[in-house]
Amino acid sequence: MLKTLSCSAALVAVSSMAPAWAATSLGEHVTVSGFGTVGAVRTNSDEGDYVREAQAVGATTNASLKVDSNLGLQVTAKATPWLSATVQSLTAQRTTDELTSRIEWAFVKVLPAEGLSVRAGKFSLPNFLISDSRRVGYANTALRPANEVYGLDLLNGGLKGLDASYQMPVAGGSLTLTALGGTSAYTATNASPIDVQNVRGLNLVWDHDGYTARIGQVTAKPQLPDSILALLPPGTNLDETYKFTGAGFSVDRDNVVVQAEYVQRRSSQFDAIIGADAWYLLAGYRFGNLLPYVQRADVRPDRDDNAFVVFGPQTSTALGLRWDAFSSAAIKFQAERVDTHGTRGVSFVTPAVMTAFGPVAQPVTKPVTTLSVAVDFVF
Amino acid sequence: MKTSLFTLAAGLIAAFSAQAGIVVVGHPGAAPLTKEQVADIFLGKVQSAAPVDQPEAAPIRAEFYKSATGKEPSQVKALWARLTFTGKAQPPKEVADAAAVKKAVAADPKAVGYIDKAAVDDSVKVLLTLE
Repeated sequence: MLKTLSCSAALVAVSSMAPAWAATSLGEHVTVSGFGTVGAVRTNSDEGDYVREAQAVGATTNASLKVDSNLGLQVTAKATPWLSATVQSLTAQRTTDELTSRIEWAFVKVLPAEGLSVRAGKFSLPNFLISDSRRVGYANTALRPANEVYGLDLLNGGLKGLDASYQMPVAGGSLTLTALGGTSAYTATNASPIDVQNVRGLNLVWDHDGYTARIGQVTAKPQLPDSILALLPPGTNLDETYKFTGAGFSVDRDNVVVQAEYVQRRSSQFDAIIGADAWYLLAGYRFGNLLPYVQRADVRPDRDDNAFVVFGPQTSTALGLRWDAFSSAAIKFQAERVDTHGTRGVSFVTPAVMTAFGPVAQPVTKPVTTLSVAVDFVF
Repeated sequence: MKTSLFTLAAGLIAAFSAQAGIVVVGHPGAAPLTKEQVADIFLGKVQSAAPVDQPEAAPIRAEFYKSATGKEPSQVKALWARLTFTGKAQPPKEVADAAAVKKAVAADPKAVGYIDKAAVDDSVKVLLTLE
């Protein structure tokens, strides 16, 4: 942990001093590039740890470096103009309390014809507007993506399989249609991964001159482990289909930045505990190197009267500033008010108490204020 | 006072003439480009051309991006970070100066670069003049 952070800090120093960011070429065919964030966040509450996605530990009135800090390294080898291979590793806190390094992507990409691209291997699922680059702070406006939306997708194991994208000119812009198939995994906080089979998806992205719009859906068949099957009444239909649907748009022109997304999480058999709808809206205005922004986000379970509810409604409002202080590093500040409406919400890990249904996480009773600062860099 | 006004005026003229004097250049056999095509090439939206950048410290780079794409250097860099770390594209190749740009585009029919109008010679073809 300390080692990783001091390494990251050294990289910040190096990247801030470097006159330019350019992926480093190793010979003619291989390029190495990287990104990272050193970020600290603290809250005004000790009722639970403030985290993102399925992290195990986070911020309380004690600041945490483990929520936002990460380090990514990417190597791309281009054998010919139509054949390349990419490997990306990411060090970050995932579902246990440690920073772990893992290969996020390892794929081979072929461009058989102009506009067509086929990838095989391991990569991210395109469930959001910024799915691929959500951990690349430098590429994004806000300090961290709205957790109400970005923490909702359960398929956190990425995709092992195949995707094909076709890009064509439509309505003055370019439309990219992606179809994908393969397997994935779901790992809950401090739990073992659940195997997910038959992952299928379609994604449509249109962009033109600073405007981007996207709509997509992924369906999958989680393979429920015996520990969960044992809890279900006999005769329960186990043919579970998980479905994640999203639409979003972004505008970045004439110094105006707007980004919004709406997502739906559905389950064919367990919708009462899985079903949820979420959205966020981010708006900012660029003044040279300064980009102040405001973000509002909200998530609602389909039903909030269920005793087994594993998450609760949450609404947050954030005020932030991106400052492009250096040529390859941006400094960000964010203040946020998170209201879980008296439930556990989606951004908190709280102590569990034993009930008739087993351990149940305690709610966060009062709205929480968070303060964050981060340095995002690329090299 | 007089001197500083003169310096200011000279500076302004120099700035305007520099901005008016950027040309997009390519291989002598390449076809002319529209401003939209140039923006697409330098913002990674098309893979069919190979963009060539001047160094970040060179003033012509910021002027070129402002004029061709309407974007600030920090916006352009964030965009390339997104393309790079989503595996979609690699940032433009960076070369030392106008002479190196000319050498690169003269050698590669797919390469596209930008230089000051005054640096144009027979080794390259002007594909677009930026106003």
